Amino acid sequence: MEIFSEIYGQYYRVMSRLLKNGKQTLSQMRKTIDELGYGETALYFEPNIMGENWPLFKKHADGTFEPIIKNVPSLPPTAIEKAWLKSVLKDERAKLFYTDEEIAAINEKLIDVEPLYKNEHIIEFDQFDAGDDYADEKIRKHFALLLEAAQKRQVVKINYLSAKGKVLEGAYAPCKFEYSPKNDKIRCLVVLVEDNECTDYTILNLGRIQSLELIGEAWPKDIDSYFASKRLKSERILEVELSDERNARERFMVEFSNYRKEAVFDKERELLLVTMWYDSLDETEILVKLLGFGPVLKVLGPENLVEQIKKRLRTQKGLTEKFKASAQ
Amino acid sequence: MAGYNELVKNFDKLRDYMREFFIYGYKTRDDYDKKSARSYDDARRRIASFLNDYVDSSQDKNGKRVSITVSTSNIASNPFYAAYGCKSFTDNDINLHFLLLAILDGKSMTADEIADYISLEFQLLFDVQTIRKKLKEYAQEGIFTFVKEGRTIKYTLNQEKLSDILPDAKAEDFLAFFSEVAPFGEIGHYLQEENNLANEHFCFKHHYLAKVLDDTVLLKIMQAIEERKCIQFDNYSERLDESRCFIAFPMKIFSSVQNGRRYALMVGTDCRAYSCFRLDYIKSVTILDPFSKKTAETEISVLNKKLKAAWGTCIKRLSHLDKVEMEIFVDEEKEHYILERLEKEGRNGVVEKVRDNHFKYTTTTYDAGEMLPWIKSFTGRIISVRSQNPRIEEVFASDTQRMYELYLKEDV
Repeated sequence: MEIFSEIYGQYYRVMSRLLKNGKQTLSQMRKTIDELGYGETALYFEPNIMGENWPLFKKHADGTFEPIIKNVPSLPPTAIEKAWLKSVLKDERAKLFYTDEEIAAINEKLIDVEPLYKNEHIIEFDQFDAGDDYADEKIRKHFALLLEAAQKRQVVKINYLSAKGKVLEGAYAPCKFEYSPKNDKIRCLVVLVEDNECTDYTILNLGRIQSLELIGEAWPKDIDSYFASKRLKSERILEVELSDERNARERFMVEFSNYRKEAVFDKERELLLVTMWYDSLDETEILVKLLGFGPVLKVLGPENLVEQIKKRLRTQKGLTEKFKASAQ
Repeated sequence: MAGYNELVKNFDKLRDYMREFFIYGYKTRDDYDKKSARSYDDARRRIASFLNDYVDSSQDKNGKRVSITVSTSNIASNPFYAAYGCKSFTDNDINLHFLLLAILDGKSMTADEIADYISLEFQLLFDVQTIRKKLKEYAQEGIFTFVKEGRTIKYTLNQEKLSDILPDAKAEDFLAFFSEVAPFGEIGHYLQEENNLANEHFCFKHHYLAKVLDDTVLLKIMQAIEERKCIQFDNYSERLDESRCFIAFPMKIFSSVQNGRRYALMVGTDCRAYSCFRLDYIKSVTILDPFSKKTAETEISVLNKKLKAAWGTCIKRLSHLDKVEMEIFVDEEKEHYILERLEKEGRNGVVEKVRDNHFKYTTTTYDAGEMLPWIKSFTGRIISVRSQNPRIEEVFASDTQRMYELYLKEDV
């Protein structure tokens, strides 16, 4: 069982589609290759199909190409895919999607399959405590209802207790589910719907939902553009310069590899200058992470972030002086 | 460019370049001096072909730079999975793949019968041995099933469908989620592609894409862990800029959800010390013989007892633990979230109230130095940091002083 195998490759996928498309012109063929292949796939595909290397098409006088085989069956789930499914079913998070009875039934179908890997061999050593409890019946029920509402594009009535103890109640459209392995939590990105209008966008922790019911009302028509505009709205730009002390450059680029960035090395100053785009909702988390780097990087912008760092340093300085004095 | 091909036989070189372009996107062509110019140009062209939307090329006074840059909060699927689709193959491979699938769909035939059928029906000639080899390979992959009739083996296409295993209504969302969050997510991605399933409902935060590039290495190590076997592998050391060959007994995979790095924790065959090897530095893994059963069980049991005190990847087989104490100021009325941070991020540490608005966090671990970034993240409320390792207090004090100099010059 190999992960890196041509069976799952892009070229086989393109060929499968071409064969399924039946009789076709060269330009139709090219369109399919461009749509499904890599950037230069057409350069390699065409000569092989036209020539004798891949004789899977008859070339007609009218310039069309017809597959020599009439049926192109789909691949069954392969051994490695079934082994992966068997492992994934043992993951606690699978309980969000299937009931215990359904998981048992799926396992029964995979009874002769050995799992590809065992979760017990992997330690996520820096995952935060207080993640969602995926075995909790309330969480499972709420997630199933939210997912059903998202699939049917229907509104749900939610009663929610915020971290600050505030109760929110209203009709919401669950547009997306956001999972963070660091927090091991699912958050639901929702739009508040009032009189069939999108009126607010917020993020709800799955574990803080108190009650939830499907009310059968369809999402407002303009919800997709409203949701997209709310998510884009709050982008900010971080600018930092990094020395290479304590391998800071690599550490920074790895730790922030989930953000879009541009980095340029200033050879004269031996500093790496990085520009990074982030959501303002992530600012506190980014600030805390930047402080962890200490003096091996300097934040140049945005101004409000630099001010927050200065404020914390002034407080720190005050605390250090006060307690040094009281200790003497 | 003669000899260039979009597909590759070996994943390792591609894996290295993809990571380099993703993590070290600021490097110029001249910085890749270890590799040949041809190899660099081919990799750059290939990666641009796979990840066109995410590749950025630019020129500055240092030279030409190529980087892969992705904001992971808005992607439906890990774009690096594209790299897993570029395995090269022979003409026979692709021709037989589609011919055999079509011929054996609902029919049961031997290799000889298939060769005759292809010759008669399609006027194409294939060596029976080549067909037999492909049938055997696909039977191992679970694509064909077979029955033995005397000395002959008849093959047929396995008619199982994904929907026979996973109930339809939730399969799409189940695969969309686990293709991104589970180990070896590219396999879930293959299932999505084959069954035309997409990710409509999920997005991911703290999603580290490059780790999937190490999955071929991870699979072998996980197999060795499960079978309690030693492995031989080449490990590249960035510090020494050289590769060395090791033999060791792998016991656990350490995976960071805060930066995406993964490590294999191993003990040497002499059982004297643990080492954590970064998976992105490991190459050419060979699974060796099983470790002595008794020794393996002892080692695993010893390690399991030691895991609790690990802060990061440093676990010492024979060493004492460092005690670390951090006292911080928290406004109990308004800043309860700071206490929650200590509880959820503190990895086995204990939080206690010293007096009003003063709290002490205490833990013991193998290398207190690993905790420093976390400790420094509380800057602005730290009253004291104490450790049995005096270096910790020194580094904390000196770093804080340097931070004042970096940011608070105008205050002086």
